[in-house]
Amino acid sequence: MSIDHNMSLDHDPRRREFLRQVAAFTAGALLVPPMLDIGASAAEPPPAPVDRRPLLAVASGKDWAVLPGRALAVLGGMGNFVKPGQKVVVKPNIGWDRTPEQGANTHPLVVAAVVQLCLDAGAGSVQVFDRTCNNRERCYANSGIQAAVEAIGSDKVRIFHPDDRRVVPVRIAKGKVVTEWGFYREALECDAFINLPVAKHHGLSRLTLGFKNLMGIIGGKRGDLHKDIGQKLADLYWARPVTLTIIDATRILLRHGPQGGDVADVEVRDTVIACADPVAADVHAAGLFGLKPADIPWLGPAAAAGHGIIDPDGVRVVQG
Amino acid sequence: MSGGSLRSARTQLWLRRIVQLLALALFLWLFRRTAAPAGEDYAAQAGVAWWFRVDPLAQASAALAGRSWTWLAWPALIFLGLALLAGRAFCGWLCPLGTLLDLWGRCTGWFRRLVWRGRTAPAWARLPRFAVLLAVLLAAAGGLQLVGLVDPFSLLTRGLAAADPAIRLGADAGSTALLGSPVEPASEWLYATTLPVLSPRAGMPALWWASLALLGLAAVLELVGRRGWCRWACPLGALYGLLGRWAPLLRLPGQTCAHCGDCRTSCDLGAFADDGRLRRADCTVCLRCVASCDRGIARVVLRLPRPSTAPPDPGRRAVLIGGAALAAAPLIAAATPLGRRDPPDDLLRPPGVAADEAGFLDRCVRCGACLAACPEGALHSDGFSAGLAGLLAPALVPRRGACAPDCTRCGEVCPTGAIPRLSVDAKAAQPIGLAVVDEQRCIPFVSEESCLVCEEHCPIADKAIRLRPGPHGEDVPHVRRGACIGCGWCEMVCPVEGVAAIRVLR
Repeated sequence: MSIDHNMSLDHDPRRREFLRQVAAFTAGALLVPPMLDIGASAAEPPPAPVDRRPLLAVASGKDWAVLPGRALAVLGGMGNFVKPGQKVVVKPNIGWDRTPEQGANTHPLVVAAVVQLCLDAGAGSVQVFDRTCNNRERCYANSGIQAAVEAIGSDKVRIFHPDDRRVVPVRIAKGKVVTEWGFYREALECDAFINLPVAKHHGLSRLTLGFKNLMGIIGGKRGDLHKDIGQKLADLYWARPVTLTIIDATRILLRHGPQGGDVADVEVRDTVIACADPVAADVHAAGLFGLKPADIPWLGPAAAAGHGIIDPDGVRVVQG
Repeated sequence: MSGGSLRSARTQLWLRRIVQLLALALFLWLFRRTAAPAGEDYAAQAGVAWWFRVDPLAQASAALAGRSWTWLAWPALIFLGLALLAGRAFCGWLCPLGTLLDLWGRCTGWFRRLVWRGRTAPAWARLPRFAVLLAVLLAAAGGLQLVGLVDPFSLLTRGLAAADPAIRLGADAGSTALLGSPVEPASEWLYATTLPVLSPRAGMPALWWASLALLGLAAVLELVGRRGWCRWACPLGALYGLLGRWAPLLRLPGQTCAHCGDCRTSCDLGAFADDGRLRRADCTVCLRCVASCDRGIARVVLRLPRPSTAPPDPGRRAVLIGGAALAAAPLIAAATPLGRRDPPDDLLRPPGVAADEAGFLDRCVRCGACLAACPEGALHSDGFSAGLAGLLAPALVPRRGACAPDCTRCGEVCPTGAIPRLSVDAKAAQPIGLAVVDEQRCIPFVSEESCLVCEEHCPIADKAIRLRPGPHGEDVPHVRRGACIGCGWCEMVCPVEGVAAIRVLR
């Protein structure tokens, strides 16, 4: 059992207890979900040294297909996020006409694994889509994601191209800059929204991670968002809060993002990050690139809006 | 005897109708595949090109204007041979436009009969199509490619390429007006099935109205007379008619007999002259006369024909002189500045043709297949930017759609080789143009706002657009000459309203 470097050993007993609960839960012995402290605001009063910080799971390994499952096990299993019969949207990054090796899209193994986890949790339907930047058919095909998702062979799973005729205008009352924008109906009308970005470089916003990935569920002229993109992404989040963020860092694109094209720009990191807190997930993923939260334009505004915890120490990182 | 042969003639007539409908279905199916989303092997999808590859008129025009031969044209030679054997049988049996006009004529026959009450157009009206044929070929020889304005498959393919988005967008607009939102509530069902979703940037192709108007012309002629387009206007039919004057597939007798005259009234193209003789250039072997002949006199046989049975038409000489003048008109126009002029810097062509604009315009028959094939909606008909010589030729309009670097569909579908078949690598080696930043309008150049959407979307792995510190502290884009292939992706996504702040120029 490995322990993250920024975590004290004091926390270990509780974590063992937690993992025991997780194991019991996934075995179906426990009907009540384990306490997860998701969204817990502050630590306990001084006397109790119990770590109530939200969990952030990091799974590492060469077998990328099992990493999402291991990360989710840390968070208590997909059943904590997807209830039986629910409509689920899994939103990978399929934005570019690039192959998996080029690191511009979420890896198909990771996408298929997450979809399968949703099915195992009893999801009524799982919809997979992205609004692509390049030709949509080629993006879906060359990313390998369409084939991987279709290979699951479940009639509950649908991978499709979003249709601009199904963009619903959403008023964003809490938005500071963006107060109205169109979102794809499927993204709005689901019970659980799982954001599944790939971690990679981006010319404008330094990186593209979870928040940036949400640009794939909106219609309209996305280029307009590039001015003051940080605040705008934080605003858009109000319209579609994320149930769970899973960041694919099996390989990360270090340069020439977001679409890359040269495998020399890609570094294999064998990592998948999962967290219920979208800000914390992005903060941790930025760390893989050696970047601080302040380097990523949306993290400050998102934390200020209350979307999540920007302090890297504000979450408890657990290796899965 | 009469009963048996009558029945067999009727059977043959139905056989022809079935062949016609199958050919039309084939055309539409091939068109649908050509316009369909990219598959693994697009060459197998590019079938609509075959209608132009079997088209001797389009191929002859391309060869004359381009002064070159392409192996793509071999099917046209076969159809030339078929015309020598069977004359205009193609028009009666295979032409998809002819079949569509037959169907349209069935729906509008009441109108035609009501308005014209049995009156027919004068015989000389059948002659201008020969002048059109001559004009197209002469103009092609003179370096002016006009065949796309009159070739029946061009009319149809271009018309469909325009009608396709018109129907979809019209349906959306209609349902928005009636129901308040596009295609709801039917969209649930359509969406779950195989409704071809619109590309995000899809809109009506440029000059769509011109394409529809040319197709509409054929539809209007049908209101004047059955197969009016084929009787009076179609230059391909004229070519087949000329070739078929000595074809051994014959309707006999070579004139109406002394009896009922039913063959004259039943004839699809009104091929019988006033004196009763059959104009062979108008016989499409439609078999109606055979089916209508109660006496079993009319028949279609294979035998060596006697010398031409075409009667001298009144005013023929005048029409020929007029036709020659008409035919010369494009040649005269070609010599003027109207004919061919230097196109503006922002007139881009499909990939692989930038080096030889003149050769491209010579070989392009304006068939519209590339417009339908382009998955990005990047190719559009051009007007007079390059003069008359460029009329309706495809132009790449990045603001509406950019050229996907690893897509080679337009070259694969082009039936005359005007757009070359390039590998992805060869295509990258032949830039369409070069992106140029307008520093007066580019957002980070003129303000403290960041942007760089162009850099983000630049599909070159090593980035043809790079960043450098700008005057206001924000990074600004600059284009690397030599790396940029002119795909236009930057121009398409540039968030500046109206004209983009980064544009691809030749």
